[in-house]
Amino acid sequence: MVKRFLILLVLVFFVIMLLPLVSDIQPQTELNPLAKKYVKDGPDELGSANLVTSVIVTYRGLDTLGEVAVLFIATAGVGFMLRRRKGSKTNPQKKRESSEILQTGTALLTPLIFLFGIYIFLHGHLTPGGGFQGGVVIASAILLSMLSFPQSEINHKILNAIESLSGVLYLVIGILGIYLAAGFLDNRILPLGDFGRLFSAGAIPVIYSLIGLKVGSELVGILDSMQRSDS
Amino acid sequence: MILPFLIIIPLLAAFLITLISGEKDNWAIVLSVLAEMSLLTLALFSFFTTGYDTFVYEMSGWKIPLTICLVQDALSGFMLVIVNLIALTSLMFSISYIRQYSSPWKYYALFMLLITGMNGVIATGDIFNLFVFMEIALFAAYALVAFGAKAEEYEAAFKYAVMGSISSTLILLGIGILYASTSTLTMAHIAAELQTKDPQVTYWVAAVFLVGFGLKSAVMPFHAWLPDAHSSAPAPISSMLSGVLIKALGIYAIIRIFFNIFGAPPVFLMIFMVLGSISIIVASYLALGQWDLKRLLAYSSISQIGFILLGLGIGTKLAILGAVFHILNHAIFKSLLFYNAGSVEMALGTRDLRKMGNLRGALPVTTSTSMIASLSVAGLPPFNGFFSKLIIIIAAVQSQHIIYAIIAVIGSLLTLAYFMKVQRYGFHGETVINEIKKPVSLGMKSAMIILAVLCVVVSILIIPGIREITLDPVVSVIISKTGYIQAVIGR
Repeated sequence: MVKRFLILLVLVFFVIMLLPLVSDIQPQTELNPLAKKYVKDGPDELGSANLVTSVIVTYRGLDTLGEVAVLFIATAGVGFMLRRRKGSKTNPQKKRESSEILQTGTALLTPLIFLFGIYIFLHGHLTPGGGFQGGVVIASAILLSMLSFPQSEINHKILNAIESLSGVLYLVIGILGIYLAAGFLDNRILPLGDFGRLFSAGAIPVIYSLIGLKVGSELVGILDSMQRSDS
Repeated sequence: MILPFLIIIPLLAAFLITLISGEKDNWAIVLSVLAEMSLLTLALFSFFTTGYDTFVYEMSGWKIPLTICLVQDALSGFMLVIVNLIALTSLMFSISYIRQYSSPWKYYALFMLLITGMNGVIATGDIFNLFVFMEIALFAAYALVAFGAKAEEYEAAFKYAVMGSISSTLILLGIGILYASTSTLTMAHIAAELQTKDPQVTYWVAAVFLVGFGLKSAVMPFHAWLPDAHSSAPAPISSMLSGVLIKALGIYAIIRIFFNIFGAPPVFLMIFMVLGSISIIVASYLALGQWDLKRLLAYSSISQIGFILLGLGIGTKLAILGAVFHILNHAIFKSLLFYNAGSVEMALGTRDLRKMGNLRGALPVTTSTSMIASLSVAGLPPFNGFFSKLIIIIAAVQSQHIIYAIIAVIGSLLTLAYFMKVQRYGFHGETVINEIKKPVSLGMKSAMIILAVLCVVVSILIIPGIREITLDPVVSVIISKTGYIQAVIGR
């Protein structure tokens, strides 16, 4: 009881502390100077129609590389903590066959979801979306087939190889930027192309495709570790 | 030009290790040792070529504040040398130690990511980027604390993760407020903007950061996660966490933000002194009661961090010299002590001081190096710990903080007391132990010997001629406060 009260007290304290921050906010009528610069120069400098992408992948590319590394550790950590103990086999009785409707539906939908995911990360520099979102869509296709075919096993070697190879390639593209363009993670190692076309914005589509593959395989890895651990 | 490679090399090594490793860990060892050796070389090179200069590397060819920059000055060079030095010895120690756990190659991948995170935090000149790299280091640390896969290790990792997330949330809140009021994320630009803003913003953000980074550096009263996490991790990881992680993520970030961005407001220096003294006394007292060797060492880390914070809080040139020197010294002797604890644990299967005994015959290298490390941490001449503590105490007296000087002296005496306990029960006890379960390998021995030698050798940094090219530039970065702005923007 006392503990609850203390927790409540701490929360009230935080509310009082942070209330002025929220209540005094003036709605901004114009962009701040940094954002203005991005909006004004971004499309010309990087040739990417989606401005958010050009900030994420190029201007602040190192943060994105960091986020990719964080996700990589999260996958490794989950896989490590939920790893199957040696000798404990999965119980086949627990896993019931799913219905035929589900199986047929999955067979029909999986390629389409895959296609959609690939579309999202390939067009990351043109339309809303990008590598992270596309990767999640791809992982959702795998989740669907995991649910409808519980017996199927995922090939870890391939999953692992896709994950680390795309990471390595991402870094290699970054390093190429040092030697072929102005600095680490510069997208101008490839020609900027025509604004708004699929093959434009330099290396951004390549980087986002790699991120898409990496995020997709990482999330599948997490789902797979979770699926195997509950048996 | 060197700077991005300090991040690229360990990250590339981590990805390559997962790509090529099978069940065996041979390639993982080769890759990570190679990566770490090149990192140490780069760090040493950058430290000794920087001097009083500041180099800025702007990412992807744009100008700050549009992009992220990496900043190399004496302080970051100094921290990079410490991190990569301890990391190299830790890898040497790991090679045979980690084989007792399953899938050791994963350990090396996570270890490389831990290095990536710490190098990134130290090298970056962008406050949000600092947060991202801090998360990399922390996530890797959570996973590595749980590497032994026993219940208590999971518990410690979970506790660490909860506390780490709370502190990260607070830090992110602070970064958000800073961005809202200055509309830039480059640290030098933030510092320049803050000078024209209402000082209240600085105080609010500094208070949030104090708690956030205080949790990361485990000063009292934000220390609760440390004794569990640092004692449950595998020994080489304990040494990384206690030796460098709390300094890279905690103390280094505190120095950068409070001194270089906020310009060291006096009220916060006062808080540093108070928190530092509380840490010194209370943690020493708690350490005195421990029988678990690694737990004792973990509490000792809290109290030594207290010395560093006290030195920073006094804020005179001499005191900061002491604090900076103590950062290096503590990294060396605390890592060595954790290696000692690790090799005892491997050889005898226990960490309980009461179950240890006279180990002179069975583990000669471990026993003698632990003696050197204990004397260093307790602050006896001619070992390195003596000089840094002495400087901090003299600086406290000089700046009229007599009470703090007395607290530091009492803290040193308590440190001596609990390390005498370690030696008396753990290594020179009554029961002579001759049988050991597993021999201590050559890699583990050489890691301990290297650090024991450094315990003595590092003392020469205090000789004026050598100090002028090593420690003095670091002190000048800290003491010049917002000189950082000029160094980064006005090139």
